[in-house]
Amino acid sequence: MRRLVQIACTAWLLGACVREPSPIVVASPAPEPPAPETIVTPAPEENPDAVLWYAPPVPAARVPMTAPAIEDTRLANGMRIVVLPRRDIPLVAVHVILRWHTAVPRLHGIQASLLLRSTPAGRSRVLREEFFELGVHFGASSSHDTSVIACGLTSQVLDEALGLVFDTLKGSTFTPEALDAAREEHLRNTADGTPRGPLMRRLQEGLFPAGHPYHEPHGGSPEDVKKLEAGELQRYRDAQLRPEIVTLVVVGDVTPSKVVASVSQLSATWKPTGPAPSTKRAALQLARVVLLADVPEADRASVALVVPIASVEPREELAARMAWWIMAEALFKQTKRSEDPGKHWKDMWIGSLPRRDINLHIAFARLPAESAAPFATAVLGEMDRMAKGEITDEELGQSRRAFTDHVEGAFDGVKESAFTLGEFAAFGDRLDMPAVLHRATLEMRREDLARVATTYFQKQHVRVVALGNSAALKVHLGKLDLGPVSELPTAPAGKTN
Amino acid sequence: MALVPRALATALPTALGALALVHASPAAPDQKAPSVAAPQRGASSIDRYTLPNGIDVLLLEDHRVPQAVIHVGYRVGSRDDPKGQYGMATLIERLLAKLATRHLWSVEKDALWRALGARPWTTGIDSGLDYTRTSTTVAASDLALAVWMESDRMGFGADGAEGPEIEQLREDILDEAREAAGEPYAAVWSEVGASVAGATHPYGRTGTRNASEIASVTPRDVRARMRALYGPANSILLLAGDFDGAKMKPIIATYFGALGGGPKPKPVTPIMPAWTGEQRLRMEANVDKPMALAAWFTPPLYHPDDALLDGVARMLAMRLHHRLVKELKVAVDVGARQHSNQLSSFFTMHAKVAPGRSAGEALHHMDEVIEQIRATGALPQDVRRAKLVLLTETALAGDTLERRALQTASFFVHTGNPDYFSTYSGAYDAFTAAAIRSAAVRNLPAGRRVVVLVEPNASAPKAGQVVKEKP
Repeated sequence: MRRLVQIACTAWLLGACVREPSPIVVASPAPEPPAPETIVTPAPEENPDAVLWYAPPVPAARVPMTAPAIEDTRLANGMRIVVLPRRDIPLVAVHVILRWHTAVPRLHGIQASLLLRSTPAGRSRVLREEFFELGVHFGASSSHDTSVIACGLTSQVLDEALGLVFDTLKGSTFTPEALDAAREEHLRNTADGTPRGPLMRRLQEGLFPAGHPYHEPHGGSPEDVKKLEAGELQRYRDAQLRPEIVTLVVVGDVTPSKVVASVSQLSATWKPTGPAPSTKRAALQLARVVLLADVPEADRASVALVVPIASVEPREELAARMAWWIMAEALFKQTKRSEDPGKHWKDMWIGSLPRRDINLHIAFARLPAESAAPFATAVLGEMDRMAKGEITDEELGQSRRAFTDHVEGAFDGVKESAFTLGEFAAFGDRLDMPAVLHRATLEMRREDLARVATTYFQKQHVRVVALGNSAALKVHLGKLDLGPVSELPTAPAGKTN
Repeated sequence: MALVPRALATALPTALGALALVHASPAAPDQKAPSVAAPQRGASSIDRYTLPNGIDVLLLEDHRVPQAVIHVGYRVGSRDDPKGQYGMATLIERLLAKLATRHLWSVEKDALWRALGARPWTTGIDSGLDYTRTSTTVAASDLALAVWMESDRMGFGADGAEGPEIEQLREDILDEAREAAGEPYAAVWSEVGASVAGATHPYGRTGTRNASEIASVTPRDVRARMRALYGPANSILLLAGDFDGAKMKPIIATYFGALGGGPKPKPVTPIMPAWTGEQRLRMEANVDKPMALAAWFTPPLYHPDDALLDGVARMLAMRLHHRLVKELKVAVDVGARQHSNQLSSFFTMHAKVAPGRSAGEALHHMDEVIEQIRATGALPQDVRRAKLVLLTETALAGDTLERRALQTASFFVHTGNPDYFSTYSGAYDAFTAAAIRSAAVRNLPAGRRVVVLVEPNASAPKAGQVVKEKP
């Protein structure tokens, strides 16, 4: 370990303010002194400065993050404009976020791709070709609740780009060829090629009732998207694409008042027509259940334990995510170090999927059917450990570091800042949420994690979804008293398990 | 072992001193709830100075995110590889990545971070023809520790240049060369670059032809090389982000200032290849599609014509696509690019040929398109589009702290001016049709270039190989 032991001990001594060093245990002998020709600078004995490297500087206290000054405006037509000036480089990010009143993944998911391929009112070229002429970098994406068009451009074409965006939002037309191209791009962008993809799809079908947007994959099912017709998309768009669902985020080399004035003028004639569509969603039906989908030919089963947490305060959700993260680290260590074949879990993925109405905390693995019970038991055991507050200082420190790292980059650069603001604005959250979460992370205590885990990480809150030999899975998972076992219908032709 | 008690005894007061400095550097924690209306701290200008041992230091304070980037650049690349030892710079890059010093091995970093309560970080290390760099983003509170670690890497990185380590690195590099031979057309690009430069030019060697030379590199060679070229006198240190420059300077002086400087580097001057006429190269590759490629040597990075040739490449790529792919359907994929480097650059245009068509036919049509640009120049809308695309890309290349550090370092190393952004983007902003046309005429003449025609051959490597002409 070379001089690491010295360094670690030095740090410990500094931390503990101990005057006299404790006896030092060196795990392995120090290496032989290097041969003379290996020395770049004089050896420590000959160079008093070299001793500096044996005592690294200790990190300073973490500084709470400060949110930048953000201009947040709601126009009379209901549209929201969020502007963050960053004047050091001539770059602007313009993000258009559409938060659909009535989200229907197969219909709203494709809209951003389609808008890019449609011809804005009064123009001769489609939006993406117009953007191309202006040197704009652009992309489209969708989630379960929103569609986003993201652009990066040089500030000298901002006015032209905004004009194009509003001519498109207010009214644009698309050809059958444009729909085919948008469909192809949308299917490519939303394909989930991960090992957990097939299970996630069945999980959504099983957990959420038909009619709820989360019942479908976030871009709609491929089969439905392939069948989409122009008329259906146009009707959805005419009814749903209204100013009050639009959030425009502009970050970069801009003056906020000028952006607001310009956008006010561009959208002056765009008014909502009639009452807004109902936002009522089917009630979430998340009964305690073990859902099995029979895939007899699968060589391994895919198993997910899901803890849904609905509509909680952001700090509570943060605590849940930190506890879930600590569990994940511990479970990864278990499978990595274990010589027990029952713990050789493949493609393990343990994470949290945030949604507008609910967050899903998921532990996923691919494994032999007989290992499903040991895996579930290990996850439940970790949940129990969290609830008891048996969290080490090191685990707490590591999760703090991981979560502060995650949010500290939220305002790093124009492009990232626009994504951050778009995400929080679209969900109606505070725009300084990264700073709030940063501070909350630094202040998070073991008791906070334990309290949240006691509330949510309980066996009765766990939903299980498994794909594989359902007879075998039923036997193995049935022993754990995780709720009534229910078999999902066989996947229709074309659906992949 | 004998050093342990001595190191501890001396380290404690030293570390306490550093602790006081570092603790004082960030702003005191703000207990008030963060406000949306909090004033935004903007980026300040670049503070530049040189330590007595020759290392150039650039400090770029930017307090908008609580992070910092440490970028260490060595003015060394594969162009400097000794004769018969191609791959030396790559090997040293890998050795630096191992962080194998007498004070710390990379495998011990996690334990160190844990012991000190720092947030783990990953260092990106990379080398090219002209430059080797390490770049690390850390929490602002950990910057002093990162400075310590990078000074250790620079001062004592040669400690790991011992037999088994060097042998392993040589094997890794040879394995990668073998893997690269499986990448379609890979050798075509390296052969073109080397052929354009010419045999006597520092860029005139290729990974395909010269890969085996790495086997002759010994630990002694590596140590001598690092002593000669990887010291402070040939390096830059750039810190960007949320720190107080006045408080960081003593820390930099303590760790980097204590290192021996090494020999002063010779000034770098552009070296333009000397050959004239047209060279033709026939290659074969185990691929589906023939390929035609033409290349010219062109002025170095940041030369006024370098920016104009970026514009020519944008326009040419678009016209090639329109003519060869859409109209004539002679190609399925086309491209054009100015490959910019410090000593000299090269410009390429290429076409992957459509089924039933030949590489010669594609070359003929590519020549027609470029001749049109040389003869009549560009339309105003083409010039504007090229300008706007390049302005956007240049600005995006400086977005985020880490990218800005990299861009600033590149400006400084190649122009001596870290604030070169305005000049650089100004060159794109000033594009005119006449300037673009004359840059094409001046730099891309029909009669002074390298042409490569690649034909499919199932018995050749996928990467391709040069076909030796029969006498």
